[in-house]
Amino acid sequence: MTFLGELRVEARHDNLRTISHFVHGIGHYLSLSDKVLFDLELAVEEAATNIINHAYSEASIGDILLTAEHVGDFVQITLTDWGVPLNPSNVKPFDINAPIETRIRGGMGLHFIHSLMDQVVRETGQKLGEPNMLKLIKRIQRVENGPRQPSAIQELNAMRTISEIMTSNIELDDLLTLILNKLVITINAERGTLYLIDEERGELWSKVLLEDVGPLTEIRVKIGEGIAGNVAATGEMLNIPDAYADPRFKREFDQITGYRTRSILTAPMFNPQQKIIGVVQLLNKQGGPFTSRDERLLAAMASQAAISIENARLYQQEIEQKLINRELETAHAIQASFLPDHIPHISGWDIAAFWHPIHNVAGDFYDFYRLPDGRMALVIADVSGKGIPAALFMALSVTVLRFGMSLNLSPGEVMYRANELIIADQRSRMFSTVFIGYMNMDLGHMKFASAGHNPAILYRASAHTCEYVTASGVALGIFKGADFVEETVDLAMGDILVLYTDGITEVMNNDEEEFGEDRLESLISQNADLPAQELANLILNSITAFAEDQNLFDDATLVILKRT
Amino acid sequence: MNINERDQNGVTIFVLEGRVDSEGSVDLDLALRTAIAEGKYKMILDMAEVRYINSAGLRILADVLTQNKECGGDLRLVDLNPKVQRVFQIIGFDKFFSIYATIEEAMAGF
Repeated sequence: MTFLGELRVEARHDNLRTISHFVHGIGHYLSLSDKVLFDLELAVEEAATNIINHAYSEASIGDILLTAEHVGDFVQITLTDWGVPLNPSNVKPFDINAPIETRIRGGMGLHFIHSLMDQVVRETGQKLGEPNMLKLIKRIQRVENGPRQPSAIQELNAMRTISEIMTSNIELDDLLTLILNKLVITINAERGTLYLIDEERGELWSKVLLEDVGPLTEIRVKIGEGIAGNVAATGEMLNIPDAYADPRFKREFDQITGYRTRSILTAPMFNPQQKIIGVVQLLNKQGGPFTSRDERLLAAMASQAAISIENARLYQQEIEQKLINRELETAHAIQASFLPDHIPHISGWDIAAFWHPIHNVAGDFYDFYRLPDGRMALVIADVSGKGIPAALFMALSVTVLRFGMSLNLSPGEVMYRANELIIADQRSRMFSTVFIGYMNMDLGHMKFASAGHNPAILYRASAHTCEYVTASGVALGIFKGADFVEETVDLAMGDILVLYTDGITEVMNNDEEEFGEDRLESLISQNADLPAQELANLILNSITAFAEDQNLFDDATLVILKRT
Repeated sequence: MNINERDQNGVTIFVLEGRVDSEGSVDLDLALRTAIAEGKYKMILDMAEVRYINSAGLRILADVLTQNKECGGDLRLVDLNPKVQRVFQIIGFDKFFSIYATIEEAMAGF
C-alpha cells in the first residue's frame, strides 16, 4: 500500500472544489483514465456532500480527512469524519423505477457511490466523536492508448497539487496541541505554550498557544531574553515559583493579555541529536508552585514533542527533496526536447553529437536546423552559469536563434538580431557564446559566424593536421549593436569538423592541469579514421579518464561532422 | 460555469460550458429558474461542453424538467458527453429526459 497524499478540510460546501482538486491531483499522479477519474471524483464529491449535509450540524462543523492510497491495481480514497455516523439502513434505497419527482429526494449520492466504485467499505465509530470512515476503492485504468506517460507538464502540475496538499497537512499541530493539553491537565497548570526556535531571527515563536491570549496570535521572544528565551539559550529547565520576583520575567505580555502570571515551569526540547529546537512552558500551577515531579514529567513530555516535531520536519524535507528531484528530472526531459531528436542522416556525411549536462539541466545546447534554402545550420552554444538559470536562458537563446534561422538570415545576421533581442528582453546579465555554421552539404562549403565561442577544430585529411575555425564576434547578451563577422571554410573528403563547448577542453585533472585544445587536437588527428560516433565516445571517455577523480564540473557538448 | 442563453422560435437554448459541480450547479440553478420566472418553459440545454455533473446538478435538471412539463413545456438535452451520459443511465434519467444529437432535432418536436 502506497500513501499518495491527504487533505484535511472543514466540512463546508465551499471546500468541495478543494476536494475535487485533490482527487484530480491523485488522478494525474496515477495517470488515471478520464473515465476512472470522473467516477472517482463524482463518488468522492457525493460522499463529501453527505458528510457536510448529515454528519455535522451547523453549530459544530468538524473536519473531513481524505487519504489517498494505492493498493495493487486499486486506488483507495478514504473519507474520515468525526460527526454523526451515517446508518445506511436509514437511507431509503434509491428506487430506479420511481417517478422522477420522488427519485431525486435522496439516496442518489449513495447510489452513485455504489454504482461507480468497485468496492465501498464503511467503518463507523462506536461513539459520537470517534472517526467514521468510508473507503472508496476503484480499479485503476490508466490513460487510454496503452501505458502512455503523462506529459512532463501534467506531471509537474500533479506533483505541485500533491505537494500543496502535503504541506497543508496539519497533523503535527494537532499532535502538539494534544501533548500540550495533556500536560496542562496532568500537571494541573492554567496555561501552556510551546515555542519553537526560529534560527534565522534568533527568536522563539509560539507554535501552540493554549487559551485566549487576547490580541496576540503569536508570541515572539529573543533567545536569551525572558524566561523562555533563557531556557532556549542555556538548555536548563527553569522552575520559578513567583514570576514577578524574577528579574528575567517580562511583564509586558501580562500587560497586553491582562493575565496574571504567578508560577512558571519551562523545559527545553532537545531533538535526538541533543540540539535545542524549542521550549515548553506551563503557567500557574493550581495550589502552589510546580513540584519536582512536575519537572520530571515536563522534561519527558518535552522530548516526546521534540521527536514528533523532528520526524514531521524530516518527513517534510524528504517530500520536498523528492519533489525537487522530480522537478529536475522533468526539467531535464523538457530541456532535452529542445535538442534535435535525431542526428540528421545525409549521404556523404557522418555526423555525431553528445550533450552531457553536469546537473540535470544544462546551459549547453546544439542544434541541426534545415534552412529553407536546403543548407543545414549547425549550432553549438554555451550559456554562462549552470543549472536552472542557465537552462532557462538556454531556452530563450534556442528560440531566438531558431527564429532568426527560419527567416533565412545569414549566420552573422542571426547573431546580430538574437543579440539585440536578448539584450532588450533580459536583465539577468547572462550571456551565451554561440557558433553558427550554414553548411552546403553537397559542396562541403560552410559560411559561419561566432559569438565568442571556442574555435572549432577542423581536421584536414590531406595534410593530416588540425586548424582552428573561428570568426570575430562577442558573446550574445553583452553589447548592444555588436557586429559578427562572417567567414567561410570548405571541407574536403575525410575532413572532420569538431564543435565543442569548454566543458570538454577545460576539464581538470588532479594536478589542476586542463585537458586543453592540444590534447583534443591530437586525439582527433590520431583517430581520424574512426566513425564520428566512435570518435565522440572516445573523446568523452578520454576527458572522463583525464579528470581522474576530479568531478566534471561543467556541461559538455560536442558535435562532429565528417565528410565521407 | 459559462452559460449562454438565446431564444429561438419560442424555445430558450442554453449552451453550457464547464463543470456542473458544487459551484457550477448554483449557476445552472440560477439561470434555469430565472428563465422559468420569465415564463419560459420550453428549454434546450446544449451539453456538449459539460464534462462533469454531480447529483446536485441532476436534481436541478429533474426539478426543472418536472416544473416545465407541468406548464406544458419541456427540458431537452443535446449532445451529452459519454461520461455524463453514463451518469444519466446509472440513475435512469435517460428514460425521463429527451436526449438529442443536435439542437435542430431537439427543436423539431416543440
